[in-house]
Amino acid sequence: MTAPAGDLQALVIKSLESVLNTDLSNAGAGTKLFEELGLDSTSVLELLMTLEDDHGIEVDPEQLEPENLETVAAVCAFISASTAGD
Amino acid sequence: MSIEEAHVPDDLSSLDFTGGLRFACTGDTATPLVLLGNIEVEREWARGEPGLPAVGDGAPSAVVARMDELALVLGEAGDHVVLKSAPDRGYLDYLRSLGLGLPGIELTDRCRARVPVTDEARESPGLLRRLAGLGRAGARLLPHGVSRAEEALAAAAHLPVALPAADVAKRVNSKIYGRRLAARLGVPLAQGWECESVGEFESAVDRAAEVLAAGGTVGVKDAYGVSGKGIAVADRPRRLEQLIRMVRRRAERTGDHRLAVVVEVWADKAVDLNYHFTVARDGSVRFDFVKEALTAGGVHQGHRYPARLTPAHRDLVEDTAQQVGKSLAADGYFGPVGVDAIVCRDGSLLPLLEINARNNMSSYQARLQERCIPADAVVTARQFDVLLPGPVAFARLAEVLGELLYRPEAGHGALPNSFATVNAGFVDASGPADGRFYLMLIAPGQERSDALAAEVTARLAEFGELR
Repeated sequence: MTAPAGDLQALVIKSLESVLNTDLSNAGAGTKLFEELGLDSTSVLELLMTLEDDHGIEVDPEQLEPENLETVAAVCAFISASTAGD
Repeated sequence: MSIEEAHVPDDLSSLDFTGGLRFACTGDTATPLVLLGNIEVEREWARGEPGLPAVGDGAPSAVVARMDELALVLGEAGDHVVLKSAPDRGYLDYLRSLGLGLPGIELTDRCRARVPVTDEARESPGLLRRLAGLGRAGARLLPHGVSRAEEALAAAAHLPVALPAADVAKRVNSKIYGRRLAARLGVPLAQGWECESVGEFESAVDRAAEVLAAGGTVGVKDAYGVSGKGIAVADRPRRLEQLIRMVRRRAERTGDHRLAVVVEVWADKAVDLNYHFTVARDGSVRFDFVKEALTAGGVHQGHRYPARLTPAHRDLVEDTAQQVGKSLAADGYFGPVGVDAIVCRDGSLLPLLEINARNNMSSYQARLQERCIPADAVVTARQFDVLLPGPVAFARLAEVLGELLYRPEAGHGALPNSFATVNAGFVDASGPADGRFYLMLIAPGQERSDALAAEVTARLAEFGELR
């Protein structure tokens, strides 16, 4: 699956809202997942499963490095790179 | 505290909280303790234990790495505490004004933002020399919990540990151990399955699928999960299928088919509880207290005391504490223990969800509670996370809290039970950083307690955006 950058960011933020059960209308590309949103290893796993459930984006958690999870933009970049050939 | 006063009490319950802990762990009421607030001990226990797929580097946040200062209020005069940096002087003066004797402070040679206190101590030659001197004088190292990292620190400092071997402590902290113990004791237990291999997990998931089909929810928990983490909640079969796939993929890649998780049917919870007891080297067990645990998204947020329990539930909690304590002693453990329990919406009590054979957050409130707080007060111990634009001195906190800052003569107000976490984020950063205020909110009743919480929250917002 390939989505335009803006669409992908919206999908990731929507999935984050679902996992964290909170309104993230002010979140953007630079929003920090751990520091600002309080994401932890558990919610990362849920985020990946939600992305897969809701948007068909499949990511192997073991391939993720901490830097891929720093910001919304970093997650989008990782997804784009790992699904580029799909 | 002197050698002449050293004695063995007739009854562990005759001692105050720290005195009882001292005797339980060292067998002598006069042994000086070197306290170590290694809150991150669960990360060490989890090392090498295959649980749910995880991402992230596993290092504690700067705030968590400064929870070492919680141990400051556990020690008496004559004890010592290892800290990553010197406490705010205003905060020390405030604690003294409460009438608390404080332990001597032994600083690590450096204070790096995300480095756990144990690691910092192990890399501190100056500190190790001082600790060796304390060891020669008869002191014992009492960490938050003991892992191989604390054993290595103790060996380097020639300072014996006042807790059992790390392998014993680790084993009894496993959720698999806790569930099997509950079953053995006949203690009410949430339906669930312990899984020590991918194959066992697959079988458990098959059975859990029936629960989901009936409208239930199941949780998959790492046996060695860090408090409130390492949990996946499944409310539909697809979630379990995804977890199975992730776990299988990892096993195929690594060739390691071990797993350490429990699958549990999610109970319909009304109230979280945390109770605390102390197991002595001689096998005796002292029930310390039971508190309501405040959680958000499964992550610990604080405690309320006294817990609003029926007499029957209180009896069941205390009886379970005695049974679990005796079993832990038989398995070689002694020291502090906290157990998580829940009251379900149908009024039933599940008295053993998880054993935390280590200090708990509530351990660090106990001495303050005994010494400074009216016995009939409602106490809500909470954390307040704030995005701070710059460091905050304790004097400034006292100014902002004003008349709300707890004073024993008033008997109500907000008592900061730790302070280093406030400025933890500024160790290696100058911009805005996360800070955490730990406050015990003390009031004569629930209504006043709620009003105090609202007013304190409003005042803390002066420092920055509340998380």
